[in-house]
Amino acid sequence: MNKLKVIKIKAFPPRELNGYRIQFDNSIGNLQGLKILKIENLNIGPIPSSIRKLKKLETLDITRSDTNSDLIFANPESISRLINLKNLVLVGYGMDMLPSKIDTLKSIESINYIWFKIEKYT
Amino acid sequence: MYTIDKNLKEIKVLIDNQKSKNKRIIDEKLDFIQKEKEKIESKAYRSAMYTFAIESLENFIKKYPYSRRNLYIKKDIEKIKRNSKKVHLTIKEQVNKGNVDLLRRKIISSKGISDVHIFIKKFDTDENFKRILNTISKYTNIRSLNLNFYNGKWKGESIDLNKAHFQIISKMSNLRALTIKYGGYTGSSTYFGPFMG
Repeated sequence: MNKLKVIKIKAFPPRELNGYRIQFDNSIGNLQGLKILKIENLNIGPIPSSIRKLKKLETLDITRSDTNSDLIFANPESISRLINLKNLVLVGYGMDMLPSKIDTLKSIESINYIWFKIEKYT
Repeated sequence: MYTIDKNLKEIKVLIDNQKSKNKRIIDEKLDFIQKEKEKIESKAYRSAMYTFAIESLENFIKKYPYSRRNLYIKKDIEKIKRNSKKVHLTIKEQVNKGNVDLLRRKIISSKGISDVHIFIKKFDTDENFKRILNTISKYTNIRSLNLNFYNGKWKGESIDLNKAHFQIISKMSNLRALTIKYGGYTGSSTYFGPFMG
């Protein structure tokens, strides 16, 4: 994490989300040229472990979204395979802790980690 | 558009004549084109005009290799090349059984669409949404896909993004940026919305 320049960790009170859901498929791993993945204001299912195949991904931005399960990543270690990830933004309800092995991200320059201070969103 | 055409043709004539005293006039015309360029709305025509503009500017550099203006012209060329690759498609009209095929035909006949913005709530059924997604994945070479749930008025069934949609999206092998969001809010790096307190 030599390139890390910015890290922000904050907690905020909850707010209401809309009811729209995203259920990812393993096929997302086929988008191997993807550099930017952004998801905003939505209920999301766990991101499949095939995300590790997105070797060119530079920005992963999951902003103000709620997860349908306890984990935002089906396999939290899969994020450590994103060797070109520079910007990581995780903002939401279901993120109790930073994904494990986040320290292995070689190209990371900024981490914005903001979660909402509530046990369970209803 | 006519004025740009006219000016570009005049520049070409001036360049072909190789008269250095024409440089000032060429500069003025290039300035004019630079301003007019911003106003161009027709996308298909813009693409053709970009090619012509690039050729004209490159010719200028060849004819006047020591002109101080060349540095700026080279930058202009790069900018034009970048812009000319982007052809936007925004689906913000209501898409229903009646017009879905018309829209598909439009997409198929469009050349070089690279940036697509879809308001999902504008689709009356999930089936029609998938048909359009399929058409885009097969007939365009998109680099940026923006799926917006949009919070305005709409008539249709509730569409969530599911595995079937992602299987279609995953066929877009040239995709560089995928954005999925709800609402008209733009800009992901600002976290000071009203809910932040």
